[in-house]
Amino acid sequence: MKYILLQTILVLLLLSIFGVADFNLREQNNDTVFRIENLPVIVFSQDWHLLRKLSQDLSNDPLVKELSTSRNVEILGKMIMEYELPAADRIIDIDQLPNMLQFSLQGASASSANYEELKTKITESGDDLMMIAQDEKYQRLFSFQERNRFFRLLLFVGTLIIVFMAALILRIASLKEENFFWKLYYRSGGRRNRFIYYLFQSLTASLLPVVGFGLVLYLIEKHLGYTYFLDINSWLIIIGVLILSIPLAWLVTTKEY
Amino acid sequence: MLEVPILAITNGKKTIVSVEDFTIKSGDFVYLRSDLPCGKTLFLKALYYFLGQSEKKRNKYIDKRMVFTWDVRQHKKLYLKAGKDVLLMEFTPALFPLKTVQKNILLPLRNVNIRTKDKIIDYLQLLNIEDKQYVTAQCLSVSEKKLIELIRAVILLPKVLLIDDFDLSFHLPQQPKVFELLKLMQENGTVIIASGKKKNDAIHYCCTIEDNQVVEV
Repeated sequence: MKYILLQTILVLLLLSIFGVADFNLREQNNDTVFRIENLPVIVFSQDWHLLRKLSQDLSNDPLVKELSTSRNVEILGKMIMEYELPAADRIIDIDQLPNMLQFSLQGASASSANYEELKTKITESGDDLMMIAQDEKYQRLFSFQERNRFFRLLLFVGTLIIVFMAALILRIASLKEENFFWKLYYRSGGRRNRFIYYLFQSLTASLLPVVGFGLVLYLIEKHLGYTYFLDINSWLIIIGVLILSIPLAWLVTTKEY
Repeated sequence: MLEVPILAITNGKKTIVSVEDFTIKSGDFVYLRSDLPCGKTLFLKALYYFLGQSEKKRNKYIDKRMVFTWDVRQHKKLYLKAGKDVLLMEFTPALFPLKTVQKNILLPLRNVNIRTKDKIIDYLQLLNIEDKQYVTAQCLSVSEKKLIELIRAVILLPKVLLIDDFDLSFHLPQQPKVFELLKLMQENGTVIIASGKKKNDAIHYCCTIEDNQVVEV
């Protein structure tokens, strides 16, 4: 019982620390995604058909979102309306004005490499294309996002290792402490299977903190309004790591009878 | 009926004791007596280990007259391998020092009912230690601990009870009461094999190990 309680508290504490750190990193990541998605990429061209064709190509690209095209006449109309320049219609030669294609990037899946690919694709689509994008900002955001992803992965793997080691050490300590009991128990004529007892005890000690962590997340969302969730794979990996420590501790511990 | 095959007690490749096959009827009390170190304890342990094997395996050894070898180095797993029908009482008492007498007696039992608890009280009264029921085992003397172990054995009622150092475990004044308890077990068909150094007039079936054979003396 002592070790079940100890493992529950320790693993729950570790998972909670992980949850707080991961929540912060995820918030930073969401902010970066938002900033990436709010930076527009604009492509100008005199050739409307070329721009339409490019627009069709890009609409299938998973990296591109909110794609829109505007003809030069529409742009001029907007300019006149927005800046109240009725005379401009007479002064500006409509054929000299370019057509415009505008889109933003899918923040969650964007990276430096696929952005470069997209740029190459646009520039190779035709000579009469001029792309305007805030490359420097993009690069800064991409590198920040990559670093953030790496830290999240590092945090997750690190937590798994610590949780695994803590569970393994506590399982071994529990087995060693119980040696005395089981030796006397078998000597006294008891015939219960120690492994089944150990399995039941270990599964309780492994699943209790995970259930507790889920409960903590639910209560935080309900009462404090912070939404934090782990995907099903992460939950399964955490449970898997905790369960892995059970047979391993059994195998490495010398059991005295 | 307890049938024992040819038992060979070894230490690695060296055979320490070898006992030819013998048979004991249900409810019999066999006292293995010898002043000399002829391997009484090792024999009991080897027997305990043999009886822990499955019935099929035991019959195979008996039917084919095969030698059942027990290596003393297997001692580490001796108690784990024991079967449900055999209990070995060594000289060192197997009691939890911090648990009460009642808890120590009930420890190996799966289902405890009020009748079992009543039986415990009866046996404690029989042995004049009824006041020790809720005392922790660490407060008992060695002979009292042995009596508690005996009560536990009576409650468990194994088919075979092996008692090592019987004369050291139970002093002469206690022995009539002890025999009363053992009689209860015998009536239920338990075979009792005890070992000791001193002659005991109360026991009629006395054996010793001589020239690798259990012989009546």
